[in-house]
Amino acid sequence: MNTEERVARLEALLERVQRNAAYLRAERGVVPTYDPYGDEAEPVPLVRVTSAPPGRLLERLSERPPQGPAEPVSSVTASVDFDDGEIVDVPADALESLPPSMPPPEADESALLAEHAEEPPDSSQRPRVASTMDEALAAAAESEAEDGREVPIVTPPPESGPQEAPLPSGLAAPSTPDVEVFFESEPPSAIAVEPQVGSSPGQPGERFDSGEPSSGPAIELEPPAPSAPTASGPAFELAPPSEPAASGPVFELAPPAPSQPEPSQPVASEPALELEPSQPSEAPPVAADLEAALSAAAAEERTLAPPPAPEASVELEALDRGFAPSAPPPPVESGEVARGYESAEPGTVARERASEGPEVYRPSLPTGVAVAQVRAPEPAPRPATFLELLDASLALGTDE
Amino acid sequence: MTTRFDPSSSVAFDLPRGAIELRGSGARVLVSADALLSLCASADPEVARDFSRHLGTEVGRRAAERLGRDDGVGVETALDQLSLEVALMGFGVLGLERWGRALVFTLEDSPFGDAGDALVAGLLEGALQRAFSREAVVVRLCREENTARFLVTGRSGADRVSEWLRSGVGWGEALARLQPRTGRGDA
Repeated sequence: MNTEERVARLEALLERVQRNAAYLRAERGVVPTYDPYGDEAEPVPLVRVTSAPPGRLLERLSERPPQGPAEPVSSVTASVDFDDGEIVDVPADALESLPPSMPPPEADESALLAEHAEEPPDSSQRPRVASTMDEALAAAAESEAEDGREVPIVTPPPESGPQEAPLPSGLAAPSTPDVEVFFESEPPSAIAVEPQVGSSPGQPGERFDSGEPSSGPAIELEPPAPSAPTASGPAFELAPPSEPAASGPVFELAPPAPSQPEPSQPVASEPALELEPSQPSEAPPVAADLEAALSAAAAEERTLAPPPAPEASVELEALDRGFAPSAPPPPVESGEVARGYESAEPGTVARERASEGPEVYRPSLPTGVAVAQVRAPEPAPRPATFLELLDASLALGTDE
Repeated sequence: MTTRFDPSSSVAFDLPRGAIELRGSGARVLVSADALLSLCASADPEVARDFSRHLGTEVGRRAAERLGRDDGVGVETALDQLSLEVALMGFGVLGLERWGRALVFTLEDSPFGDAGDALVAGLLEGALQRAFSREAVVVRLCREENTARFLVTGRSGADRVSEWLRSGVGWGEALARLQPRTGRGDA
C-alpha cells in the first residue's frame, strides 16, 4: 500500500466519521430496538475508552502475548478506561491478538441484538389472581415444580455455615489406628492374640517362630485345643460358612469330606419348569406336562441312589478313627445295653463297642420278690383293766 | 367304780396317848429305816420275805377296801390306791410301766436303797395277792440311782429272768426275750 492509497483511505475514513457524527444516536444502529431502561437510558457501550487515544489502546493490546493469558479478560477490560459515548473501531489484526476466550465485540454485539430481539421482557407477565382454590393450588404446584427446590422452613442460624461441626464423642467413629507410626515408634514386638476359648486371660498363647527374622511383628496364634485331634482339627474351624449348622458338635459336621463332585443334575422339580417354555407352540395339556415331570423326577431319583453299603461302612469307620477320641458320644443307657447283650452273664458285659464311649450299667433287680421276711413284734394289746395286765404279765415265760 | 381317795387325816398322831393311828388300821410305830433294814438283812431270807409279804398284805387289804370287788378296775386306779398305801408307809413313790405284756413296778426314793429292794419286792407280792388274789413273783430288774424296777410275773418267768440277769443279760433284753414270740395273745 502506497502513500496515496493510505491517504485516500484516511480521507474516506474521515468522511465517514463526519457523516456518522451528523447522525442521531438512535440512527446509528448500535442499539436500534432493545431499550430495557426506556428512552431516557443511554446505550450501553461495548467498549469504553476514557483518555487514552485509540493508538495507545492498540499498542497495549498488541503488547500482550498472543497465547496463554495470565490474567482474566475482565481484568484487562477493567484496566482500560474509556470515555463515555466514544465508539472505537478496532482493527481486525488487533482483535486477533486478543485471547480466544474473549469474543470479538462485533460478534457479541450482534448476538446481544438478536437475543434481545427475540426474548420478551422480564416483567412482561403479572401474577394473575386465581379465581378458585383449585387453580391456586395448581399454580402453587406448578411454581414449585418450576423452581425445583423447596423453601427451607427454618433459616439456619448465622453461625452455622459450611464449617463442619465437631461430632459428639460418643457418636464419633473410631479412628483408624496409625499402624505405621506404631511400627516406627516401637521395635518389632510380638502381638499376642488373646485366646478366646480354652485358656485363661493371663495365659499367653503359643508362639510360632518361622525361623527367619522378619521385618514385621511376630504374631502369636491361638493355641489348639488340647483334646482336639491335631490331624484335622484346624480344618474344622475353617469349615465354609455355607454349610448348614446343626445342633451337634462341629467335628461331627465338618469331617474331611471326600472330594465328591457336585451334583450337576438339577433337582427333580426343575425339569418340569423347563418343559413348559421349551415347547410353547405345541401347547400340550397340563396332564402331559405333569407326567413328563414325574417321569423325569423318577429317573433322577434312580440316578441319585445312596452309595452301597460297603462304602458307607468305610466312611463310618473313617469317622470313628478320626473323631472318636476327641469327644465322648452320649452314654448308653443300661436298658439298651441289656437288650444288646442279653446273652451275657449278669454283671459282665463285653465291651466290644468301646469306641462309642462309656456304657452305663444299672442293676436289674427283681421287683416284687421278697428277699427276707421281717416280722415286727405285734403291739401288745392294751389292757383295759389292771387284772388283764396282771394276768398277762403273770403268764410270761409259760409259753414254751 | 371307786372314787379317788382323800388321804387327808389318814394318819393321826395322838400325842396325849403317845399313839399313832392309821385310819382303818391298828397302831403304828415309827422306826428307823436303817434299823429295820438291819433287821431284815440279818434275818433269814425266808423270814425277811414273810415279814415283807405281811406288810404287803396290809397294803393290799386297805387298797382293796377302796377298790371294792370289781374286776374291772383300771390300771391307773389300782396304781393310785397301791401307791397311796406305799407312800403312807414311807416306802417311796410307786409307779407302773408296761413293757409289752410285762407289768413293771417302779419305786423311787425308797429309804432303804439297794439293800431294801428285796423287802419291797415281798411287799408288792403281798399286796397283789391280798388285793387281787393273784400269786405273783416280783423280781427286781435294775436300779438306776433312786429308781428301782420290779417285774411282776409268774414263777416260770421269774426263774428265766433271774437266770438271764445273772448271766449278764440286760434287763431290757430279758424283758424282750420274755415276750411271747408269736406276738399274739395266746400265751
